Amino acid sequence: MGGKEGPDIRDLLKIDEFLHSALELDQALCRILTALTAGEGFGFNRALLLLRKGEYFEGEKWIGPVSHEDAARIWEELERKKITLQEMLEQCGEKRENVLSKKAKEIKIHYEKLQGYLERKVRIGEPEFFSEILGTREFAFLPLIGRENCTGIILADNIYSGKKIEEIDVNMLEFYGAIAGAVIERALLYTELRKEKERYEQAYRKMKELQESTRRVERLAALGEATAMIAHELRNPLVIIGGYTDYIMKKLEPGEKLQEKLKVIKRTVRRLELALMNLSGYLKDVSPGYRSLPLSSVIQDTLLILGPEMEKMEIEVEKEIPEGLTVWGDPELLRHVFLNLLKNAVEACGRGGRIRIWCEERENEFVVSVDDSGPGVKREDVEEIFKPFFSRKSSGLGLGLSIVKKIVDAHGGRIEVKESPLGGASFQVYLPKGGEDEENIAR
Amino acid sequence: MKRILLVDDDEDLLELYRETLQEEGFSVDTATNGREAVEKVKEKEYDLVVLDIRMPEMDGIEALGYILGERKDIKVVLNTAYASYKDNFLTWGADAYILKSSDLSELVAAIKKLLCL
Repeated sequence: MGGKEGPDIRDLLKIDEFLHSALELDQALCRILTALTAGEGFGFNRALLLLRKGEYFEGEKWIGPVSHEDAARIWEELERKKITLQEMLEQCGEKRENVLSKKAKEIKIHYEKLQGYLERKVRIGEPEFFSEILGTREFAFLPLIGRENCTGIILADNIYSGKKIEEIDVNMLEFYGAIAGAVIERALLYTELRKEKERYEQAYRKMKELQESTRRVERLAALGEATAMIAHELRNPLVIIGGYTDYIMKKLEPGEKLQEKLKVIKRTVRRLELALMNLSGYLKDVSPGYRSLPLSSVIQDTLLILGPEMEKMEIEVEKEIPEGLTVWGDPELLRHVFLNLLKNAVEACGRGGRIRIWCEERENEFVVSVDDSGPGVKREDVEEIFKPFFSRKSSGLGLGLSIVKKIVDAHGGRIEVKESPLGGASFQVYLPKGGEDEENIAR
Repeated sequence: MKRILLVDDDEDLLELYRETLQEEGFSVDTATNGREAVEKVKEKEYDLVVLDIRMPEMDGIEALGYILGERKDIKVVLNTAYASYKDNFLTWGADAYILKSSDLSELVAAIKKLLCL
């Protein structure tokens, strides 16, 4: 295979263009090596690439024929098919495991062994220890230095054709090293960026899911509260209608024609009663699944949901919940509790306010407190605040805290409101301690 | 004749219960809230109280405490529209828990059973 002096500056610019269109690291590396071994490129027989990973340079890719026979066959085929460099670069990426690629993975060299060599300078036959790995003293050592860092090195040889390395234009090769270094730097950044993006997307998806489930509980809880009230209001009248129907039926003669009509009333009332019972059963959808939960992540989840709003309102939030504490509860319901308390705190303290959420361990329970710097709860409201339909806000049903209390009660805990050292209200939730953390609900 | 005190804030419902239970041969008095019920228990000896839970002034649970404090051996039937209290009624010291229904036979049966009739 053989260009006499390698590519000229025009060829190199074309190669450069191709390298830069590869964003994925693997594809970029493959193209970098292909351009070195292609006849229209530098025409090397083999090219090995080592990437810098921490303190080591590790073998990543090694391309080229594995034997003289293989070389002859490949070059003959390339000659016959007249594949251009452009086509070769485009086809890059098909992974072929062979002796070389396996051998490459075993190579690991400490950077100190390469000290003095990692500059923008191509060397021939140096550092010498590489001749053992490559099986030849005739090789080019090419550090890949992009903008600033040495991201890797390439070793290229002509082990099959035996062509002298000196015949290649070393200046062009050095230039190529800089291009390849920059391409690798960029591909690494791209990979990092993509990972980061995935992390953000995941966090965003989780936040959306949490919001959705929270909304569901909120809807169900409000609906449950309302249906329970309606059911209660309707039950007495139905008892009276049905009860008196019975009463009248007993007073009438058994054969009396009106008996049939009264039976219809009786049946209808019964049907309504059953419908009401089913309606109350609606609440069962939120029947809690109690288990041991990491307290910290329950709080973290709610802060995640409210994060954007708090940031917008420039509210300073301090979370002082030690890791490793577990409570006994239902994750959705407890999130609902703290979401409500935190939402109220945000509304209470307003722009630029402060919220502190902290926790204290008692013998069998935890006190989790949400403190805010708002105006606080009026003394006369303290008794009323947890009752349904109580609200000092212009909007909303006033069900929030009553549902919170209901959930906390259902957990065998209690909730109190006190004055906070921050100046506003301090809502303190007492929850029973959990056992071992059965499952990390942070998923 | 066994004496029963009916307690409910719905007067029409009280009337229905009174008439039904009188037909069954009981002597029946009524009260419309917990406070009134406690007063009546103090004045007169009843064998059994039928108690609603949600009532103004003093609810059934609170009244239950006072009534049992006054008369330890009195039988109490909680009669309410809420199924949710059912788990707790025994710990409160009540003897039966009947969900309000247009079919009064369950209530009547429970009363008779408690009074060994």
